[in-house]
Amino acid sequence: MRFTALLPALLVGVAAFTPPSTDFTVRSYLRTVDLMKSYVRDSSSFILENTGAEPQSSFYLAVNASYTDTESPLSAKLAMYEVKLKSDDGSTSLKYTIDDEVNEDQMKYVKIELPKSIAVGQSVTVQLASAVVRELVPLPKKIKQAEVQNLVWQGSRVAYIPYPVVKQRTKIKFSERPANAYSRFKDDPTIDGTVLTYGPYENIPPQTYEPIRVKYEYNQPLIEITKLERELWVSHSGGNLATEERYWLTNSGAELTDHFSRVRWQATTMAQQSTPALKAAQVHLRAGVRDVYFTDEIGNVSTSNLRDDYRDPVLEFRPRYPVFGGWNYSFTLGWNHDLARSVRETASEGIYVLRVPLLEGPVNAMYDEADVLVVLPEGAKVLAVDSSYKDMTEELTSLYSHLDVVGRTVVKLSARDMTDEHRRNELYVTYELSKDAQYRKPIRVATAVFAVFFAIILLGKVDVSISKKA
Amino acid sequence: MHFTTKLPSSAAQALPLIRTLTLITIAGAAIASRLFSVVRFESIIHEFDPWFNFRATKYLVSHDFYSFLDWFDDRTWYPLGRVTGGTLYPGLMVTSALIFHGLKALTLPVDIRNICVMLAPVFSGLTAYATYLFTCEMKDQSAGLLAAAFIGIAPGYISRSVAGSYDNEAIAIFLLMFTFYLWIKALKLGSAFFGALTALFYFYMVAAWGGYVFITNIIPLHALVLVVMGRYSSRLYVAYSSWYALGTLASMQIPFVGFLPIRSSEHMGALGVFGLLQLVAFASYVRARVPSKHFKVLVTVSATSLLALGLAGVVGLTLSGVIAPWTGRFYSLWDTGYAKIHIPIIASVSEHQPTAWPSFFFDTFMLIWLFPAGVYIIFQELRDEHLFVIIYGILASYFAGVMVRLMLTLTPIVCVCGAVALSNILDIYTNLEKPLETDDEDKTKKEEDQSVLRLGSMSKKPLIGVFSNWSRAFVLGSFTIYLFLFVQHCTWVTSNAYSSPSVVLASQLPDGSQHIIDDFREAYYWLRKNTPEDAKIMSWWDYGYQIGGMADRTTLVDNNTWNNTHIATVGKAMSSREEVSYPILRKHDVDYILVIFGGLLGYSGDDINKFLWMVRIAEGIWPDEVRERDFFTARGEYRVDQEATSTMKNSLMYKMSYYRFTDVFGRQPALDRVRNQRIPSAITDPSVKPISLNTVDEAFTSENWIVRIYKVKDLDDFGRDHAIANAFEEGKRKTAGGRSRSAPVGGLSKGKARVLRE
Repeated sequence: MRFTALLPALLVGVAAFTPPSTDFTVRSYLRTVDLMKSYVRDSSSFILENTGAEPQSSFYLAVNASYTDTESPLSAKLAMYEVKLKSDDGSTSLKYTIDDEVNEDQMKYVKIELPKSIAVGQSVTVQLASAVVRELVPLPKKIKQAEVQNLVWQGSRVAYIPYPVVKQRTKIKFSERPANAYSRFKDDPTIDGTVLTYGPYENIPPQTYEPIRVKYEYNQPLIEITKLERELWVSHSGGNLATEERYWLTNSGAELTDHFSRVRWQATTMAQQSTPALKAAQVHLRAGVRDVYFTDEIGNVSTSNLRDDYRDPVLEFRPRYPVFGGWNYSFTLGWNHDLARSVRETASEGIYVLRVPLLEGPVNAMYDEADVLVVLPEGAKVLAVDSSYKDMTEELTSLYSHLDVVGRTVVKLSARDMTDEHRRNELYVTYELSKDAQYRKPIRVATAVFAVFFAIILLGKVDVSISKKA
Repeated sequence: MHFTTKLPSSAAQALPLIRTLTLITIAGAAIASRLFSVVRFESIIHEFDPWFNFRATKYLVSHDFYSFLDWFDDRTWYPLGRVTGGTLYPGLMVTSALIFHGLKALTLPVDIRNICVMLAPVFSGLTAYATYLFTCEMKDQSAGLLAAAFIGIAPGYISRSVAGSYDNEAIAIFLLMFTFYLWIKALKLGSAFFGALTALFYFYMVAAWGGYVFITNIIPLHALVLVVMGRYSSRLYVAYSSWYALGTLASMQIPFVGFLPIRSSEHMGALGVFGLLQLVAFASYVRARVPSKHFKVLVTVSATSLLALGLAGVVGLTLSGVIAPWTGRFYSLWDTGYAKIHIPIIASVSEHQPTAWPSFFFDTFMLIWLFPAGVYIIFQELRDEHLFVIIYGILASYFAGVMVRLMLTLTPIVCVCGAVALSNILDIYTNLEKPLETDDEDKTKKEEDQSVLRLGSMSKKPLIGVFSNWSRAFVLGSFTIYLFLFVQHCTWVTSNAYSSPSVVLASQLPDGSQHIIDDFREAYYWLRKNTPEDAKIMSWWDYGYQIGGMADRTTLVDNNTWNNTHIATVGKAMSSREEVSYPILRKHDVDYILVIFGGLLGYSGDDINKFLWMVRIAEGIWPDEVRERDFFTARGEYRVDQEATSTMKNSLMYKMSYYRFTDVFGRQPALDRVRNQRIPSAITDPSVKPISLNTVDEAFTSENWIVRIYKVKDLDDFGRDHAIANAFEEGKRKTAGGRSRSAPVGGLSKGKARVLRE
């Protein structure tokens, strides 16, 4: 692996691209690494000043090369990368492209386009938010059932930037208690409650990378959804939007050294201790949810509860067994909504827009693979599919169901490496459905039934007897 | 009959419509009353055998028909495997698969599980219709409707056809009644067409249920009785010959049946009667042409010689092995004690036990006393078809007395006879003909006796009736109450006795709300998701089908109890000491052992209660190594507490059931709630040595401890004996931890001492 990644860099060698470090200077880089979830959230904000000779319409940042490497699909991957330009009237998202080339530090440069160029001596405030899945690993890899799980995060105490940085600070946040073990330097880091702060450092040369390791207590499950199939069925005749989600889940936390002991587990639950096993998970659903169900491959699971709050209904479900590190569980969740909540008819007649969240899965989960299928009514024509999440492949197929003759259009969107925070991304499907198409099915079914009855009447009249009975 | 002729023509025209609506309502009621478990729990496959049928159906749906027939299942009876395609009755699965593909062709997305769950209720609706047709042939349509209503809700039939009870009987009772109806029709009309239809449905029945042998024997018996009673007719000849020839050929197409119809004793009766009918037919042909004196001699000589020849042939062929002798299951039908002595595996099945008297009443309620009345009424008329009902009634009563399971075949005929009796009563008591009116109409007949009157225009027979309104009201009123009670009883029985999926248990919380105990599925699903796909699971055979269906793992033995030795091997492994069991487990590649333990919750159907059967079956094969006597105390008690014998306490089953059980109770006495005995606890009594397992590890225990799964250890890394290795580890742990109450050295020596003692 390492060699394949190194090889192109060596071959290109001197020719490898490096952004001119003299174009910009970064002032006051504030970085926060959030280790409170099962994935790593990294958010930074900094002031970028054009200290070059000419106005600039783009600048560069860098990400770990392996984060975007497609050859090892199940290693740590970038789930989110968002760059925003902050101004007085809100913030605007910036377009970016990740370079294919890997430099000698195993990084890839990200080119970020600015909406308008920065004049020499001017500065802008930039916000960067990213999330990386599957980066946290338990240490030790195997623990006893009642033991506390520790995770390890590895990174750099300064952000890797192709420009000189005047002042920089890295904060690392934990959920429960301060880190057990961390890389120490002179007077560095400082601890304040559950926050570990590296820095501040001054005048850091470009492309600095100083590795650190942090080991901290995280006694919660690492929910990794290896596959999600989310289906949304739009029915105009029933006025219903049915959602069904099939999950294949694994807990990527620390495995058990011994086997599972029920006695010990009962003691743990009775004492209400926290545990790295997945006991229950929560899903925030949209308001107006009906008919919620929780099943798995062998039938209904009775341990689910819907807190039917008017604004924020929460489905809490318990798997059949506590899912310890390395264990798997698969299940299905489903519910209904009134169609009027999600579908609007546009100004032009017969053209509708469906607006739904891209994901609605359990809290604090990461996704390896997710397929979102929108099943439109028979005869609907897709005009546009749009989402604030761009990293998806789109496919149009058709499906026959419920007495269809021409089949219904299915929009299939496939994505990889996501987190539960992608529920904030919305999906818009614009489609055309004429009134004729809506009435076609009842007429067709009625005709078919009539034809069958008529045929039976006719057949009943046929005399098939060989000889006339007296 | 009386009504139709009397009613005005417009009402008479409406009768078929009313009849159809009534039948549809009955079918609806039959289906609805079977849905208790779906409403209360969920759409789930029940109990044990249905899980196999469900799994086979899923296989059929995902493969084509021929690969289904060729299906060799290597996930059961490890390492032997099972030629499943050739050893099952495919009728049930094919029916579901046809419905599934039919709905799929209509693009209706119905899950195969829901089809399987709902199949039995839907077919019970059809059974009601078939019973209606059958009873119509016996008496009239009003009796038919009553019979349909009875069979629709009779608990004896519901017991095997609630939603989720996806077993062969689900469709077989419909096929049974419909085949009988077609047979009666063929016999009445002497029609080859109906004979062929009988054969067709007989074929379907053969494809669906092993109980087809009942038809194979009852139709010939009926024919034989008719011949013996001198009721031979060409109608009988046509009906029987067309049924037997076509039906036998058709039945041989089922791989599991194959050549049995000409090779096994159970089928010889039908063949014999077929031959006899040819002779009788020939004789009646000859009689028309030969003087009667000669004919008598001819008949005597030929009949004696043919009988002798036939008997000799059958005996000879049986002895030479061409015809298979009676099977053990067959003998157990005649001698209820036979199975217990010779085939403990059959005796161990609860549904093979002899029926207790109350269960007749429980399963058929008032019909059980209307049944003899109905038979008596049928005797009064005694047409050819009535003989069939009588024969069926006698046989089914006997078999139902021998085996609980065969209540099922008795129920339809009880319903038919009960309906005939009740309809007869209703006919008489609801006949509103007033003797006075007749008197006014026809005064010339007034000299007749008051109680015997003639309805001149209506019939030639004297009308015998009850004319007192009081007696009418009394009888009709009491029977209305009986009918009400009947419906109430049926609903109560269905709801309380027959609607539990047994995979899921229900209990009530203190506040009255229902709590689902789902331990079986919890453990099976854990196996399904967290063990290697080719893991081999050893459990008692009861759970084989469920493990195959829900956990999707390879099992050693299952509910298809075809190999007694293999089951005995499992029994031996469970009932022996660990040192004896371990080599057996290794030899069979067992990865996990699954035991059912109800002691914590009070679930009485657990493995400790079934343990004696394991011991008995193992003893049947290894009488020197496993002895039932060793599991009883000196006073002959079956105990699990302090007084349990050492054989019991050292058996793998006992250890796996109670391993760490006492830890749950802490300082409280560890009470086994099923057997109400205290398990010796090391916490309360220091002299007790806690149960230790050397060759297996506890891998999973379900929430209420009902299912416990153990992982079989690999061979020790250093080639040590497991007991020694375990003792060493324990000693080391105690020394290393330093937390042990006893001194480090003492810890070690204690471990050694344990090894020596064992």
